[in-house]
Amino acid sequence: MRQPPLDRFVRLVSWGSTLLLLASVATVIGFLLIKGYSSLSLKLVFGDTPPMEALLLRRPVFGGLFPAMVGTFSLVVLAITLAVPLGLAAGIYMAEYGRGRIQRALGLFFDILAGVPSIVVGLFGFSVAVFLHRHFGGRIYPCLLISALSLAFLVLPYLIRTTQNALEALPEAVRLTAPALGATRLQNICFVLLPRALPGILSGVILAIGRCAEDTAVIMLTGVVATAGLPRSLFSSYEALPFYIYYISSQYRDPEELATGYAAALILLAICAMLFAAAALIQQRLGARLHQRL
Amino acid sequence: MDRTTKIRIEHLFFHYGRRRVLDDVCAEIPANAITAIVGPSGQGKSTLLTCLNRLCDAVAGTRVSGRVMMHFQGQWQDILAPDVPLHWLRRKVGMVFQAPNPLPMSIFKNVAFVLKLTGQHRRPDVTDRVAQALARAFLWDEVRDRLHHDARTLSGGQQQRLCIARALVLEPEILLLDEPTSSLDSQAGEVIESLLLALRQRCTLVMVSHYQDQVRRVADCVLQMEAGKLKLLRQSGSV
Amino acid sequence: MDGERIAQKVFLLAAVLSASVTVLLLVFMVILGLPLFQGGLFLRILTHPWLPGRQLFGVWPMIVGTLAIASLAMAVAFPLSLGVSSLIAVVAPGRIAHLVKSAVAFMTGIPTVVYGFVGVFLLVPLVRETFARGSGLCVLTAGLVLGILVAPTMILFFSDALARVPGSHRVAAEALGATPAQVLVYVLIPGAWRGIVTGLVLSTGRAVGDTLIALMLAGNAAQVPGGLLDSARALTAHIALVIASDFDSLEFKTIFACGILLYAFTAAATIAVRRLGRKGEPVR
Repeated sequence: MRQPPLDRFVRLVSWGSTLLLLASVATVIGFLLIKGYSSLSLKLVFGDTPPMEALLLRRPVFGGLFPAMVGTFSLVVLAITLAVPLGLAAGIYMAEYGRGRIQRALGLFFDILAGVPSIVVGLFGFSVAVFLHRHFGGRIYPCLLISALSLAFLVLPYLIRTTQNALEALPEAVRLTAPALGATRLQNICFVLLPRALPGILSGVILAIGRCAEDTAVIMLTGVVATAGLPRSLFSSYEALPFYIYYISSQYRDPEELATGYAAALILLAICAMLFAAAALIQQRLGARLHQRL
Repeated sequence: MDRTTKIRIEHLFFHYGRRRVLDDVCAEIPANAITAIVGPSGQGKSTLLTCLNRLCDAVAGTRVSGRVMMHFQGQWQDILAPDVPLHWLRRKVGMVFQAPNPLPMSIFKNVAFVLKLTGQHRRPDVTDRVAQALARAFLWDEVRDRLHHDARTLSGGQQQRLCIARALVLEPEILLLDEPTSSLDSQAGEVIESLLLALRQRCTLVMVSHYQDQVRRVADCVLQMEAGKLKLLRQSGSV
Repeated sequence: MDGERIAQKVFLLAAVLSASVTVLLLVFMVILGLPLFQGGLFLRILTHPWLPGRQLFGVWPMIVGTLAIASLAMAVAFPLSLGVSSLIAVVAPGRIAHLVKSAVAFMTGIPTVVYGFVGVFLLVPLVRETFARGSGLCVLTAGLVLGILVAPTMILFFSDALARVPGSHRVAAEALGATPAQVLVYVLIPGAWRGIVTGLVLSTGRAVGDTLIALMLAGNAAQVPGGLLDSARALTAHIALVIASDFDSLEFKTIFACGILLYAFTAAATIAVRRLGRKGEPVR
């Protein structure tokens, strides 16, 4: 018996769109691999400087991706250091303390913040820099710290919600064990709930790292530049991988420089893929553990 | 024998993962009769029922082997064969579940939904057939004034009869019932029982039941399921 | 005061501090863009064309540009996402669905700038040669890439919503002889429409708020695009392009108008979605 027309239509559309989507991703990745793979080399990263010398920061790197990679790395570390404590604490409040109207209102603010375009967050960071520049002696310009702060704001609502969800997903039995043994609320949170929710929170943090590493719009407004060398301090401008890719796409001077753009895109893609895989692995382990409990 | 047998189950095995749920089940189910499957819970009674309309296909990690022959339009057909269109089979073999499961729409639309699935849209016909089905399920008089209310506002017993009406609207030849009265009070259960006895005229009923007295009252044939094996317990003379 | 109470205060402070960022964002933009709010200037900026030579600094072309690019992106992403989530829900459940879902989740992690970069060197030449008109940097190019970019998020939203439809509804329909497509069209999609609308609204927010794709692929001409092959400038791209100009000029102040507009749009979308969600809670 033939399939009814509606079924044939739905099958056609769903397979068609799935193959189209997968083909377009495959094209993106394949294109980068073909164009960028051949220029992946140590020279690409370190230029003419010996790698060890560069890694130990003894000698500067010219014409390599190393400064951009260090810039992105410092940016991510700084932003996550700023965002995680705040996001964790706020998430704990939302899950364990917040009730009723206040919790709902706070939730609304976090949801709005989560939806704000990153360029607007960048504009905010820029405005803060301008504000500080005017009121505190003109020494503050858009810089690494301002960028990291803005990125922290960008991922903050995301961290809060993952923390909240991870805590709220804990089964009631786990929640009541320690209090039944005389633990205070804080003890319960620190010794029972947070450790149990850690995998969920951790995978949220990793995905937040991915967002900090790939974001370009925020840093564009808050201090990233095309050539700065290694970031010298929190208050200096810096290079970053995603901005380098953007910059090359419009400003490349010769095919060799363009090739470094392909390679940089490939490296950034690989970094994000690894972060994604790490988060997925943690979530899978978490899922397996939940399964055992059932 | 063949003339009055509707379903013939031949060496049916059912595995869920590594667990063997049905173990070499063989049985003959008589036409136009009520066959009850009894036995302790968790022994595979519901699984057997879902093998009869292949609802078991939807669950991942299951394996079925053997044959389930059904007598449709004068010939036998193995409904486990891979080329059997599931929607065709399920229109021939209706099913009523333990908990009433009306869809989130009006009483009328719940029944008309089935007609919509088979592409019947002509309004007067649909209205007629919905009314007929509701009447056959002893529900028409109770809902005729509120056909367009949400089905979930009905009582449990009414919901279950709505589900039976919904299963009957396509005139299935076989109706599967998985403990149809277990979530109802005894009064609502009695109504359903008399409904089943009336339905026997037109179709073959296969029912899983926990209640000994219910089985005694309505069943023409009783099969017992234990540890995945099925055996004939009793068959009344009329069959 | 004991540790318990201090801890509670600290957690509350963190939450309030985080929430205040949402407000500060708007406050800073309003204060720095202050002259915009005098004598109807804001309205004029929103409705005028961008003609620096005639001292006209209106962002109307950018509003149209954003809408054009985002609508095209949604026109690409919506059917695509509905198709893929249907595949996951009914057409090929089981292992294939799991694989597709993992691939889609992975796609959400691909950096935007990577899509933009590949767009510049692959799709732009293709569009330029296919239509033999213009530079290839146009609404069409940006819309297509943006559509592919937002589709994965939309798919995850849709397939979550479809999966949340109670299993009993699905089984009821299957037992009544509904084919997979009928289950999808008559049971799952009606049961999941709130989730689907939510996904649609939030993805529109993402498409409107995306900077890089428009900046890299749409050409950035500050004029109202007349067609798909015309160059256009999005509000987001406008901010990125004008940020380097003189701080006290009116030209510069327009970026705050763009920022406020984007903020208002996404905040309204978020509030609308929350309203929808609250109405969706079962009434018992």
